[in-house]
Amino acid sequence: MLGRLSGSALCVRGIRTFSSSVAVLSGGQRKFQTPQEFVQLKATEAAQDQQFKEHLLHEAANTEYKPKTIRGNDINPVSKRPVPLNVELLQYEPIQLPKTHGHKVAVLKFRGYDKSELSRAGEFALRSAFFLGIPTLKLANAKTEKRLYTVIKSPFAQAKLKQNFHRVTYNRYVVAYDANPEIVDLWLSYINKHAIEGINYSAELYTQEGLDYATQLENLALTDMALPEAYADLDDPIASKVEELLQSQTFSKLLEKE
Amino acid sequence: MPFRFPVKFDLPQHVHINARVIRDQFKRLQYNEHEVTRNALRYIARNTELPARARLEAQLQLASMPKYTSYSQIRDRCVASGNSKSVIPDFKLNRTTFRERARHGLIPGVKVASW
Repeated sequence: MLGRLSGSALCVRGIRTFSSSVAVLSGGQRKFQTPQEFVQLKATEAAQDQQFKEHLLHEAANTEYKPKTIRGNDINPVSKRPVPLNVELLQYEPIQLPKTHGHKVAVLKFRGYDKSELSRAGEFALRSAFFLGIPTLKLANAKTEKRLYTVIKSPFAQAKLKQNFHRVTYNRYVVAYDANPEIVDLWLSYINKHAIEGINYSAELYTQEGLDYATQLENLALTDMALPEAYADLDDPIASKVEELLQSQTFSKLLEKE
Repeated sequence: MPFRFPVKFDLPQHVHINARVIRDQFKRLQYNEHEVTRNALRYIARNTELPARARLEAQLQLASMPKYTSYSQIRDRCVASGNSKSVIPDFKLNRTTFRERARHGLIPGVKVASW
């Protein structure tokens, strides 16, 4: 009865592939020729559901707790349980999906002072990308920044002896390919939801335009574009204050005389 | 004549308090209040398209505003000690308080450097 999930976006067939167009673009619902067909389909679905519920109630409840593990079922002496597979998998490098087209979609950047926290955040992003079906590259290192602070060692102003401190900022990034913008949004919002404190996340998003993008821009009508008019922007508090001042009694007198 | 505060205002929170910190806080609040007016007057005074008399009037009004509404009166001060000398802007700390905290590992990412 595990086949119930087969209708979801993920499918396992040798290599994991992904297409978000399944539910979104094909209209989802199939059309029926006769009402009987629809009734029949509903009946089979109800039967399957009933079977699944019974399975959960009787068979699944009686089965032994036997999680799959890579290192065998070593029982932890403290918790008296084997380490579950999903926990154990955290100790292995995340897997990447192969690129299908090689179109860069997003670059996710991480900044922080702690290397281990950075790799935790990066691997979380990579794992979530894998399960969302986004092909990525491995977690890559960007340039490490060191900001040097030299201070006088003693509180006395004229002292000669100095001490050096530095703040080291590590940078990591993940490049994502070939995913729909909706999926990238989902990925980024999921990462944002589970963001680690003390790490700065930022993302660059890439979009693809047709070769006639320049001509499209040229053909835009004047009404499509609204250029900001100088001095007419009343959202600017200084501009409105200038207007108010110039209309006040003292200034309006001076403006009239000229 | 010592400096008297012309208006009442809230003391700064979570900061080392002394007379100079309070005075600086007052200047910051005053600058914040008068920023729009000052910039508007400066705009009029420097706009060459306006008549010279209007520009002069704006300049006079600007000059007649109290000194504590000017941005140049604001000085960075140490959050922990209130000191105004050798304040490191990244941490808002004076060099001695910065050194103490950095040595105790209280500032994220900062370590003693040796190379």
